[in-house]
Amino acid sequence: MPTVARSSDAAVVEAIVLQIVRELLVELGSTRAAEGATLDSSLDRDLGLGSLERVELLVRCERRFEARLPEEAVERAETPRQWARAILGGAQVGRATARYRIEQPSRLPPPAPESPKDMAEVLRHHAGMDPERVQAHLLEGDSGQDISYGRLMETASRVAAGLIGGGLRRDETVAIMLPTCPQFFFAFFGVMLAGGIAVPIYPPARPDKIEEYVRRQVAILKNAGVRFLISFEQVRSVTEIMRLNLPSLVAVSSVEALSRAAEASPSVAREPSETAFIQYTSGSTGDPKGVVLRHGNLLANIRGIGEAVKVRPTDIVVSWLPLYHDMGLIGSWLFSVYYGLPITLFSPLAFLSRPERWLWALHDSRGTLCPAPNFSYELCARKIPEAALQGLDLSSWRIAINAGEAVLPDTLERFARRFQPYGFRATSFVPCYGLAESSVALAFPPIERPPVIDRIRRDAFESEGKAVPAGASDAAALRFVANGRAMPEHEIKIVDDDGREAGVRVQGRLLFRGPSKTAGYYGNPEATAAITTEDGWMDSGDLAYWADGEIYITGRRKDLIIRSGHNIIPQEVEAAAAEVSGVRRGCVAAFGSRDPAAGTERLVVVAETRATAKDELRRIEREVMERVSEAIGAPPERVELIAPHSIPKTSSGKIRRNETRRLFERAELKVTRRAPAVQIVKLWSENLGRWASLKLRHLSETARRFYSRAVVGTLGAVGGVWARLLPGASGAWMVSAASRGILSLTGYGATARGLGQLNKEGAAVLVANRAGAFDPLVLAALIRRPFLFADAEALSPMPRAARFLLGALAASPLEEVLAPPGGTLRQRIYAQLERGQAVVVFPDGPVAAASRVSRFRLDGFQAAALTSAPIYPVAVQGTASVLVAHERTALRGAVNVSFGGAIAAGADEPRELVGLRERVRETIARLESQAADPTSAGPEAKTGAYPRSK
Amino acid sequence: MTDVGDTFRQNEMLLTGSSGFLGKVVLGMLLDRYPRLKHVHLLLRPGPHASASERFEKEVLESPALVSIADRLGSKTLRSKVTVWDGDLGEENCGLRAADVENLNGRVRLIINCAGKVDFFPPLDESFSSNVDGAEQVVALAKRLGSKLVHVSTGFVSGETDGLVEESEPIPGFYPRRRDALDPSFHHRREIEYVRQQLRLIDESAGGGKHSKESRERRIALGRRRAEHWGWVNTYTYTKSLGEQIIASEGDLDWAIVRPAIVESALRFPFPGWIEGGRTAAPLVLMALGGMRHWPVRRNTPLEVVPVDLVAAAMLVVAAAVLRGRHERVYQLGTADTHPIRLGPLVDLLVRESQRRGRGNGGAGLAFRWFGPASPARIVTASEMRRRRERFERRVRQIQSLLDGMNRMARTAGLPGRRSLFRLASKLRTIELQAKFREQTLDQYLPFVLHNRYIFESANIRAAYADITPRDRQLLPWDPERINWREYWVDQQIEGIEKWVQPEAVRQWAFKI
Repeated sequence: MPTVARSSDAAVVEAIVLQIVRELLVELGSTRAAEGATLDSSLDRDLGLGSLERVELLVRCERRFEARLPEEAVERAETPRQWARAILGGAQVGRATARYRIEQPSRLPPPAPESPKDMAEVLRHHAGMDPERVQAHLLEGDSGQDISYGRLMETASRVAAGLIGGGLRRDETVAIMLPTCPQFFFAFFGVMLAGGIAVPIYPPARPDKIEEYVRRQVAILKNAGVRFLISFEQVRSVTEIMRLNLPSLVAVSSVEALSRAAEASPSVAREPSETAFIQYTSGSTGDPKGVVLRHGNLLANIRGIGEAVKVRPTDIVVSWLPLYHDMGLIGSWLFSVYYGLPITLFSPLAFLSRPERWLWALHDSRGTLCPAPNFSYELCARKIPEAALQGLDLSSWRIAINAGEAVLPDTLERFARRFQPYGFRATSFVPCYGLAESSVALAFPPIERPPVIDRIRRDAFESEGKAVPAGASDAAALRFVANGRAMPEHEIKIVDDDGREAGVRVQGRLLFRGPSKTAGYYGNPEATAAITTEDGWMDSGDLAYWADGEIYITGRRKDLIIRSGHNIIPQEVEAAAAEVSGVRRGCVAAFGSRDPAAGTERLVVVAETRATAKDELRRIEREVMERVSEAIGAPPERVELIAPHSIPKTSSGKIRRNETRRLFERAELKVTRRAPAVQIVKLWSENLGRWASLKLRHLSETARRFYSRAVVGTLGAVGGVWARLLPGASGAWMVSAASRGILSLTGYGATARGLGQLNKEGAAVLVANRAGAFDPLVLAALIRRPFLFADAEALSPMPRAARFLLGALAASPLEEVLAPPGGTLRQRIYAQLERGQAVVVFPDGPVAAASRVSRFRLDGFQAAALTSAPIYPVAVQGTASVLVAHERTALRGAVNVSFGGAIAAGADEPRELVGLRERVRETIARLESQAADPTSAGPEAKTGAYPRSK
Repeated sequence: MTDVGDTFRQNEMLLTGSSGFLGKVVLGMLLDRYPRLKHVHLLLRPGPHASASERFEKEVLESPALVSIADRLGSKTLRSKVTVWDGDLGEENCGLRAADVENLNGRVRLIINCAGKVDFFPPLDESFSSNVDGAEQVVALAKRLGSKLVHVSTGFVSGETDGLVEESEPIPGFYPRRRDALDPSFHHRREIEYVRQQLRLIDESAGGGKHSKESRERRIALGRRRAEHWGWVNTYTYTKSLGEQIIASEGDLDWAIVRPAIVESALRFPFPGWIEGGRTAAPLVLMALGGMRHWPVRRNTPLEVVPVDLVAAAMLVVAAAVLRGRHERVYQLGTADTHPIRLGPLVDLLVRESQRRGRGNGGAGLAFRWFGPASPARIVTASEMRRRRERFERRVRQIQSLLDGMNRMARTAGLPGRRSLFRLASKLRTIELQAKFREQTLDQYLPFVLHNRYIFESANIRAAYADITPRDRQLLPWDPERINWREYWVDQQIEGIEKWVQPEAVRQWAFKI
């Protein structure tokens, strides 16, 4: 390949670069920016050119200078002048020498974990089995790095510790806004290990659309109620604005900051029925739809894919798909993590700037498995120059999944034809079907079979929805690709409008069910109800028909255009329009717009073009009319030509036809966008009020904390002193009153159930589980009879003043017993029971451990057995989340205490005591579950309104 | 009611690991308290230059623990009561000859297995051969001889723990991160199979053969990794737990497992303060005496230690209970259950004691006063500890580069004094190495003093003591609640460690550096 002539005058190159930049700006519709562009304008801030446009710029410069430009240098260049310098100074970057070397794994992966409960367990399994094993080869430009299971586990654990340390609790959401980079992996598994729910969202890519981006993401993150946002430094200005609009957000952080946190904490174990992450799909701004995916869904889907592609231990995955999207995240990356397969990954931008990179990545890593959407196969078939393919070998590629958007027969043929000389086999194609609501994959054709294409008659299909096989000579025939059948353990059915199963070769709605099926949309029961049926099926929103035992997807129901009784498939119209020269491929939207006068839909085609001249526009419009009319038999009612990047697309690059329709109907398609700086200023000015109120809220929180501390301090000190001065029962009453005062003055209500079952006087052992630091305070407030705490140690997690107050109720050491000083725990409890006191016993071990594994010492039970005192199980709930020492954020939830009936202790025999302990543990667990279930509510009493009965 | 003396008079026993710290005390106490016992067989591994009986004479009988008892009993009585057999726990039939097995068959009623590898992070195969293969062999031998089994494990098999460790916790399938008793993730057979396969893999693939440094490091790393994976704090407790699970899964065998806490110097027997080997809290004591002021510990966490003679006494009671068929499955032997010594007061005690004695380790002590002002013990957090380490290393580096610079200047300018500069530099190097070793040692102890909190429920041994005669209770006292911790640590532990451990430990230090 020729390089840029070194002799070129710098000034000439600079002028050419500036011209290319201006042309691009004009095409993008930013005429004003084009006029103002100088050699020293910032591409990013002044001209609004984002990473996608830079790729475009790169391709154009390469075409213009007929050279391969050094990407890293160009990426760093901020102004047209620096671009020119990079072009001039750039040595030729040869492909063969500069590619990152991918080491083949030296040993087979350990088998996938047996029945894991969550994704974190999968990682723990592999990291434990073989930590040095490379999980991912991450390519960045022409360099790269390897990430091993051990490193992934270790860094993710530290991120998890950072999240937990920052206040993340089980089942809270964490947004991950990162491009394809190592940090994404660490962040994702960090959230998994911390027991949180990940919400991957795409990072801002287009400075000129920043306002739209912020509004959209804020709507999504609000819906998800995110607590943390993991992001990166470059987008701080954006995250700062987003934060003002997200009241639930505790912190915006980065992987580096989180993993700096001190000690790794034990990971939170999750059940298959708990949510792993939320995949936001393309809902409109006002109505975000977050598909809730549970650990069980993910694992079932990954196993389903594995069975469908007959995964082998020697498989190697290659992917450039974005990680914030289901196919890249589950279908590629998590799939490879689960089976312990190495994955070669790089960013979608790297793919778009040089599509051949994908194929070379397959070549270099001897990739066998690779999913990609249809357009990327098209791009490779059309755009890669032959020279860039010298020496390419694709013979290892055994599974080429084509999914994520409509699979076009033409594309499959073109790709197979072009790459057959490079060892690609058409039998590798696996055109499959899936959707986010089914985790990712749903239907697979048998592997090692060339794609099956069904030709059907256009007229019967468009008017009646019947797929009648067409004759070989029928030039107008429609063609669809077979998508196989549902994965194992999943079911698909196709129904007509009345919900009856449609027959063979009749188009209908595709319904599905199975273990991969989502539980619904997060915080959006209406949208969930709209797609679920009573008997457990879910509507995919897609249309399809059965033929020869396989499904054929024909399109999305919402996109279908019905014009005078004829069904028009938008993809077909779009493909026809895209053939016109001057129209940007893949940037055409066809939809039906309701015409109030005619009572039917009008066919509208919106196409992006770089052309700006009037004549040229007129020619394109005419040709689009002709082509579409040829394809479907009638011309569209309207053709709208607009500047590039105006048609809204989903994060995965699919055309959003409904959104385009909405914009078209409100005449907002051709809006000129303001400079990024102006947009940022506008967003800030809108959010000034929020910023002020946020500061105010911080202030009031501080005040509230101060107040709570003051209340606890004053009442604790005064009550504690009085309690020590007053004799016996009055002292206990004093502590109880002070505790009640603390609870009600700080605004917490505690509810007690079954309090009446407690004996009013005489010896008793109350065995309570430990839900939070403040359990002793709550018990002191609720129990209306004198009692003592067996061990002062139980008070230690509380603030000092509370400790002092309740210390008055701690069982006193025994004077006459000399060794150990004060007597053993059993002796102390025994002595109190002998005196007819009630003694409260807490378990040993961590606060807030599950009650069924709480560790109770036998001393309390033994003392009860010796004195025949009754044992009362007590279940405390809610103190962990409501009364937390040093809590920064708003407190939620309620405190519940349930008292169980008396249990008589048997003989003082080790075996009997262990059995008794087991019985008490079970009772506490039962009380907890009863309290959680409101239908079994017993008599209730609240602290504030507790009747002062005798 | 069990009469311990009577039981031992009627039954022969076989003791393994009698050359170890605990084994010696068990044997000594047995001979001292019950000289009329029927017979005790010892299984000892022959050394490279000595047979088992020679080792017994030299290492066991001449050890301070037994020498006076042996004198008292006289060699004739000893020979009639004690037989020593060549054996090796890692081998078939525990290394006993077939004729010996035949000879012992039907005579030995109980095997007490005190043997074990107590290094925290040894190469995994070494730990496996004594703690896992050993357990397998002992079980097989017990079944061949038709005897019962008392197996010594450790309380720390509970791994990552915060608080009480219950004796009733089911053993098979246990791993520290187990969520409940039905969790099927762990199975000891599967795990052992996997480890053996990995060890074979290392043998085949390690460069430089089986005895190379690389192979050794990989075997150490494998143990550490497996332990961490399931939640055990080191290779030792991981393999000990595997051993327990082998025994507990054995259907037709009468067994009991004894789980002591950290075994420390003797309270009374053979004499107060006797200790041997460095795998106790001795390194912590030595560090305190060496001038360490900043301790990354949790103030309120008890240190689960138990004097060796209490363990030996309790084991003999358990042995009698097993022989009489009136026993529990697990006996934990801890002190924190009834009478804890908490780390805050303990560290204060140690540091104050070292200051009272007013000395550190000579030059190193001086250096300490130079690097940081002498002050009473301070409890620090882990991150503060890390910061301090970094600061220390930075200072050392600064001084090193200063010395280097001066050395260069002296050389170019031809000035004298290079010799003393060199001496200073090598002293600095020693200080640095000592600090590094201290850190390494401390890191091994962090699971016990910072990361976890252990309280071993010791209810079963109390129940067992309630079932023996008052005389036996006097002969084999189990009274952790009567320990005066201050006296014990100051007058017995520190003295004992200084007297019996330090030379040995220091030799090992030098070797490691």
